[in-house]
Amino acid sequence: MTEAGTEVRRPGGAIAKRELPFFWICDTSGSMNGQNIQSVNFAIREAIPEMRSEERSYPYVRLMLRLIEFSTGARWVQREPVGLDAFKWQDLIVREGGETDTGLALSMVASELDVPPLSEGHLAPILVLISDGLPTDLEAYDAGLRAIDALSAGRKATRIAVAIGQDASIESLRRFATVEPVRAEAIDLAPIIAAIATRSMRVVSESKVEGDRVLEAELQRRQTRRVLTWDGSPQEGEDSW
Amino acid sequence: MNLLRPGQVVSTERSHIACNVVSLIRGGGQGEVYLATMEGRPVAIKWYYPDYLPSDPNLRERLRRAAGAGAPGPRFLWPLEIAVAEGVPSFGYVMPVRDPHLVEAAEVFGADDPPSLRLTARYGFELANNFRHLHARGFCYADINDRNVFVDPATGDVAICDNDNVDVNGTPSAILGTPRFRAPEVALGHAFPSATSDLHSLAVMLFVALVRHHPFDGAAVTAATLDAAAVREHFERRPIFIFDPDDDSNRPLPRHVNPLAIWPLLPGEVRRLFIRAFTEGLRDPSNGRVTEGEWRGAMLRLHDSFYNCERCGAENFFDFESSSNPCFNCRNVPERVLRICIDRETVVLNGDTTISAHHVDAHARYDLAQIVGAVEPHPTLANVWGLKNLGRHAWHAQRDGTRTEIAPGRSVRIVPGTQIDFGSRVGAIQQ
Repeated sequence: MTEAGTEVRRPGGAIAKRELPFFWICDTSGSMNGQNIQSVNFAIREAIPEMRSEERSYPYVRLMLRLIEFSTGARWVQREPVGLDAFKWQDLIVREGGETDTGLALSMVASELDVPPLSEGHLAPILVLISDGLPTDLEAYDAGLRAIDALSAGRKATRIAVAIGQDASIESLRRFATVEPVRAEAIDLAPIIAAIATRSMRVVSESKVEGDRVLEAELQRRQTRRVLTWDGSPQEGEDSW
Repeated sequence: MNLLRPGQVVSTERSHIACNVVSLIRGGGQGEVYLATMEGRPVAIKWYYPDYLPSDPNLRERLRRAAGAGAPGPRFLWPLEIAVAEGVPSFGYVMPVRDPHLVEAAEVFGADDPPSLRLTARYGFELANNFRHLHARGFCYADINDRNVFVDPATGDVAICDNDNVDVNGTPSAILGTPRFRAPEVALGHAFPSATSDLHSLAVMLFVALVRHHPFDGAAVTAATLDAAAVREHFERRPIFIFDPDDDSNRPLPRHVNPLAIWPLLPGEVRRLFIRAFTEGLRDPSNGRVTEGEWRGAMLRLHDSFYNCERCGAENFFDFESSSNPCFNCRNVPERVLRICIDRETVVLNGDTTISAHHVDAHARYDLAQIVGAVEPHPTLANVWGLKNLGRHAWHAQRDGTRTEIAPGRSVRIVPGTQIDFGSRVGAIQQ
């Protein structure tokens, strides 16, 4: 007769995981002051526990976060990648009168997309760029995009851009993003960031085209929650369908 | 985005029963799931995003077929009826509510602290048994993966969700399965999902739960950036089993501790089935795969072969093909393990082992929750154990020529040489 002991041992251990590099790339230029930056702080803070819960559905994934901010110049807030369990969000602060050196930030991100610092066999990275303006360093912006595209991990990355407010240049963000950039008012940001944060883990396990399309549809749906407006100009097509 | 709002009334399409929406449960890739009440009972309603519908033109017809045919068993959260609402775009369907204490299979078996081997074997049995019921009715699930199955973390019992993908086997499908679980012929575009591609996904599910590693993730997966294209190539289109006896190019890496530790401990029968599923089964979808019935039998035997080491308490499987079964943890070799042999089945007797109806009755359904006997300690005597009759009929025990009736509620002492006549089957306690 055998009987269960108090401390039960089982063969094996934790599941072997692959690193999923995740970059928050956040605009802290002067124009982000006030509601914009506060809504970013709120949205990401709220998304972190949702990401933790989502990660449990992907046992072979270990999401590793990095965070960079840019205004006049760019600065790593979190350069050493950190797991979701240990990640602590610290509110971003706007630099008054700061420019929008998006390009410099992208070059700095590119420097982290090589192996190492990424581990061998990592999953395709996720890059999330949040900005409310036009890059002021246009040449550096081109260079930053080239630097990312020069790396395998950069080309394979899912690149998402969120444009806050009406001044952000969708055109320039489109050059960065692999899915159609999302435009959002500060008040709409939280559900969009939550969707990005949780759906993106699914994207890495699906085919790029399929996965990006699903994410894009999800983000567009979030975007269309806003009230409809009409500027009075005539519209094409029949009045009923 | 909220497709429905609390308090809103939607109606079932055929029987015109009103359902009151209570709250949003969760959003997904295709739609949102709401809690609602229908004639006072709680139900769940999945409502589709209008922009999802064009990509899945057969959806409505498929749901009608499934609802009309009825659930293959109680573990399926099956579509009951299509739901519609005036002035609301798109539509949905009504299904039973998922018990809130159930947890996604990916989360249960992916946890750093894994569930017990016995629970895992029970889960394996429930998976195989339930998909067998589904396939026996001529259906194909099309998207078996560890996020569509929910597990009772106390028992290993399952609930099978997302049955809106289910269609009659052989019907071309808009659903092409989930990465890492997709069969090669589907990933290569040679075939639509089918009952045989389901068998591949089932084998992957069982391996992931038991061995806690993906069967194709080994040394040959060399991409520096494992993007979705590389996943598809290594895990779906051209997979090589990490324990393929004829191809050692994709063996586990040293850091893959689970397959290295767990695979050698699995009973020979289970290892042979996995080898067949992931060698012949990859090449020959129609005839090479392990069937649900084979998995069901193997998982039942695995469930019954579980033992806790008498010295250190660690969990082990007892391999009846092997001459000795040292404990994986303390290397103690169990010498006098008690077991009950009923026809061709053998159940190792632990302090908490239960006997189910299918063990003692050749005509009973396979239902591990239908318990008819349990090992229990003697109420007063130390080191004396009995098998308690929890069924409705008396047993008859025989030892040394003495025959004793064991009425329901009574126990028979567990001692080698005892024969127990359960009614339609006879068991013998051995060591």
